[in-house]
Amino acid sequence: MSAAIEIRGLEKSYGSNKALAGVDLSVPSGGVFGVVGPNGAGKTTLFSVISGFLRQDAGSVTILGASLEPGLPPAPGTIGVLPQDASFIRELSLGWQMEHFCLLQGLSRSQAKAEVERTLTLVGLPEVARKRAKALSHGMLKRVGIAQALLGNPAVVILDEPTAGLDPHAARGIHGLIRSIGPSQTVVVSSHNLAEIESLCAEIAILDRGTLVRQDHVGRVVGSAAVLMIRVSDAPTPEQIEQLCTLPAITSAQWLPTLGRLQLDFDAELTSPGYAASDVARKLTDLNLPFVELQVGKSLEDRFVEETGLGTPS
Amino acid sequence: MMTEMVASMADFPLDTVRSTLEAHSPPLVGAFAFLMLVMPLLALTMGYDQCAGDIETRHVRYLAFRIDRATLYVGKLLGAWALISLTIAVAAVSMAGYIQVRAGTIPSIGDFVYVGRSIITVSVAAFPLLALLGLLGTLRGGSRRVVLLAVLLWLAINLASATARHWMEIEWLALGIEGLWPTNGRWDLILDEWTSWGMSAGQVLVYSLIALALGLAHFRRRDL
Repeated sequence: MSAAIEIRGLEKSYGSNKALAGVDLSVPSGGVFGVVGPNGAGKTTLFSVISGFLRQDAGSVTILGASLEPGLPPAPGTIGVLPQDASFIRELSLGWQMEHFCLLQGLSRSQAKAEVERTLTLVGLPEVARKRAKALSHGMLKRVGIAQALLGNPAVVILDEPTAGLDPHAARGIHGLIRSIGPSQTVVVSSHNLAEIESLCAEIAILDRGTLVRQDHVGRVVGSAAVLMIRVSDAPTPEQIEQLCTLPAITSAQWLPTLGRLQLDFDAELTSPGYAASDVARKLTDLNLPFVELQVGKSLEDRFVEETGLGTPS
Repeated sequence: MMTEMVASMADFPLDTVRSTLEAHSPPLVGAFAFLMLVMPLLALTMGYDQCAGDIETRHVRYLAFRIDRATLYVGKLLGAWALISLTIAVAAVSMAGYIQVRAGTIPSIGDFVYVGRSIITVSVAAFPLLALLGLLGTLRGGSRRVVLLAVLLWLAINLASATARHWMEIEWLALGIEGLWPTNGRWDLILDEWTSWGMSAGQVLVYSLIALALGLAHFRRRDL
């Protein structure tokens, strides 16, 4: 599969602070690609360089095979962007502003009207076209921001924290929207909500301190460790942990009080994850240690903490 | 009375103004001079927020991936210029109409031409100030800061030029410093002596080109 976005040796500094320190990244065409990282990892800087808002100090960005020239936008209709903190003009109607965006993209006035209606309907806000930006809540403006990123059906859609500030119901609606546009377009999304990224994205990149820590399929990232994560109702006793270690394939067991989980490592050459999980479930019942969740592999959040060396993701 | 009013506004000798007033309807000359007087204030209040406000609120990010930065910058500048030119035109036509009605006379072709000339001249004289405001906007990226910087710059230039003229008594230095403010030479443009236009027209042209080029170069390179 050819790359929608190809990034090579990207560097960007703010004074002495290196926000991007030689990032190489290849975003495949089609589907949803996630970018995660702690605060200051360089996610927004990366998105801003790709979108042409910031000039890189070094390196190159290629979008759909065309090299991005600093100061010039990508070819018309190539990308749509939801910037993290951009605002609409408060005193003007949102429909007028979005039509203006369409005209800048080269659409005719009638096409622009139809596009505004289509995209606002997609985000569940067809009625706001006549309203001024100042009349809308933060969450509604975020959804209109997503709508403007979809104007003209761009081949690549870049969404910087699309669900930040949204209530769970609205966030779920945006998840559905992203999933629906994913197959036909390339969607690049960043989020601090790792469960969201895990559920939306086929492939992710983990950034930390301006460098790419890892780029892989989500399944491989969360499932690469031969480990079972078990959420139990009560903390296990040392004796119960010792008993779990007597299982044939289990190599170690430890209680993680900060996560409220029991971590069991198993030898993947001796047994499959499914059998290891079944054995452990039976043993937990025998030990009178009720569990509420048993997960093969780690969550993206756990993997994120490991990959970035942080105590807690932000 | 009109002679003295125009002479005091433009800081011209009375004889210089008298010849202009003899050639045109005095109230129209007064209106022309009045528009020239208020033009910097109009330009400042209507042209301070070209790209600056959009940079400050990051609204520019909704635009920057859709069109190239040069088009964006020049478009904002021309938009501000069009707005001010329209305001000047409406004001000039309204004043001229009022003057004719009060005088109870039928305007001549020459009056129409003179009003047209005053609109074009004031609009053109406003352009370098707009180009300067655009430059300050891209340098500082905040609309209120643009107004503050413009006022401070105007004060500094006029203080420095007054110092050079009255304390140091170096006229060429005072004139040179005055030329750093884009509308300081505008009064020459209301005179009929075409020979006196040269310096002011040159300042309008050179100032506009330099401010536009610097602003455009900076806007194309800056982070948005």
